[in-house]
Amino acid sequence: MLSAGDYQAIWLTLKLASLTTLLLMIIAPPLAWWLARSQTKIRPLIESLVALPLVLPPTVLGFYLLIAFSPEHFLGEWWLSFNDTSLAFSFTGLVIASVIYSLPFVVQPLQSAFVHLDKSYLEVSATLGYGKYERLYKIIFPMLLPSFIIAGALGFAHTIGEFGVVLMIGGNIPGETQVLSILLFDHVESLQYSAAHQLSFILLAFSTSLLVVIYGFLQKRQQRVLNA
Amino acid sequence: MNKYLSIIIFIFTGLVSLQSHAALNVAVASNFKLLALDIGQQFSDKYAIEVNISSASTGTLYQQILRGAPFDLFLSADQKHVDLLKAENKTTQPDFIYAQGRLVFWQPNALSNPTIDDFMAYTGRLAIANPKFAPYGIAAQQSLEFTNKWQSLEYIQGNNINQAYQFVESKNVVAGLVSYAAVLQKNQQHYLLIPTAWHQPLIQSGIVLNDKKLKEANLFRDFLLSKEVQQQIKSQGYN
Repeated sequence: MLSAGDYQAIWLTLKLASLTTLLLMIIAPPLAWWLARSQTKIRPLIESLVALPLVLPPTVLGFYLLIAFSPEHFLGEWWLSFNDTSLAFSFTGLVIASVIYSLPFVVQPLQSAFVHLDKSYLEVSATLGYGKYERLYKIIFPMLLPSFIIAGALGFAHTIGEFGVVLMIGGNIPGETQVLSILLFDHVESLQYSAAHQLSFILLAFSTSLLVVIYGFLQKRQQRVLNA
Repeated sequence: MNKYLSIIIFIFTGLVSLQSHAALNVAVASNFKLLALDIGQQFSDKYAIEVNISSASTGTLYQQILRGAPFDLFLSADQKHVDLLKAENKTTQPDFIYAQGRLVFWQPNALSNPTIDDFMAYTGRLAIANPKFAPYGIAAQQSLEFTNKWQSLEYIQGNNINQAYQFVESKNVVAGLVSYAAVLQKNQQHYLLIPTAWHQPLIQSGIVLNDKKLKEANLFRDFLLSKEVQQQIKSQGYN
């Protein structure tokens, strides 16, 4: 059955996806809120930058990150000033790449939820004397909980499915950067088809169940809203 | 629904028939790609036969051929995948050796060409091609095992030898075991030719795949093996 290397890759992949999702759930909500509400002229530019990973080949991002991580450039140099090894081929490097790469999958559902949020709720709660943060925690967050869950789940699922970027900046180090999709590619390239079958099936089953859970949740919620 | 389906099928068949039938499709291992493009151009100029070069890692090309990719000729980076294709009865043509690769220890930040002592003293991270399947990666592992260094270094693995090269060139790794051809082609400095006795020879073997274009494919093979072209291949970092 699964080898020790397979388990290591599964664990690493889950760790990467969890950490990335956690970071995204901190970064994305304020960004999505700003995108939903702001009227400034630079909004389309920021919106485009966030959406870029949806349309750009992952190799473009991987290529630029490899350059940025190089000690010859600012980011890599700055990183090396308090670390021994470079950002490329490190777990931290993968987290940075994944946050950028999965950003639109988390920001866009949230942004759309914020756009459709009925302003009257906020106005009523303001007249009730709720402060800024109270409104956030008592009104916005509970009302939009499904959107947060979907955003987080999509970010998580998409990070698990990441391949091209990791191939370019990962260096295929077991336990550090050798995630499931890379190990799977390894198995196929080295003609270990049965190992490849097992990992492919795990990924397929996991991604399908995750999406079924998300869409099932959405459907239930939709019915509840319609019945109400 | 059926209408849509037939429109889609119509478009696809149209796209397929757009593909050129006259050209010779050559699948080339990525380490030999640039040279193959050059040789393909010379061949086209001489015989007025168009050559399409497709490149990927040897393992990827092997799998594409196994699943019916329309290649007429396969230039592998090793002997193994050519033998596998013969074992799978994908071709009955004889194989031929068109080049033999050389491995170099490349350390761009060194002050001069590293010596064998420098190589033996090297510690830290080293870029190599994936030793599980990439021919140059296998040779790298054999060389490091031969010198008892395999256990003492940390490896950054490229999917193929060009990626290992790129890791070093972008300064993300200090040194690597890369192909002689790549450092020559890019005019790089400060490398050590790894003695061929340290690893199995990096035999690059090729084979004709398609019986329908046998004449053209054989013509290309003969051109590739001709004295002048072999001379050119040798001058570009192959034995």
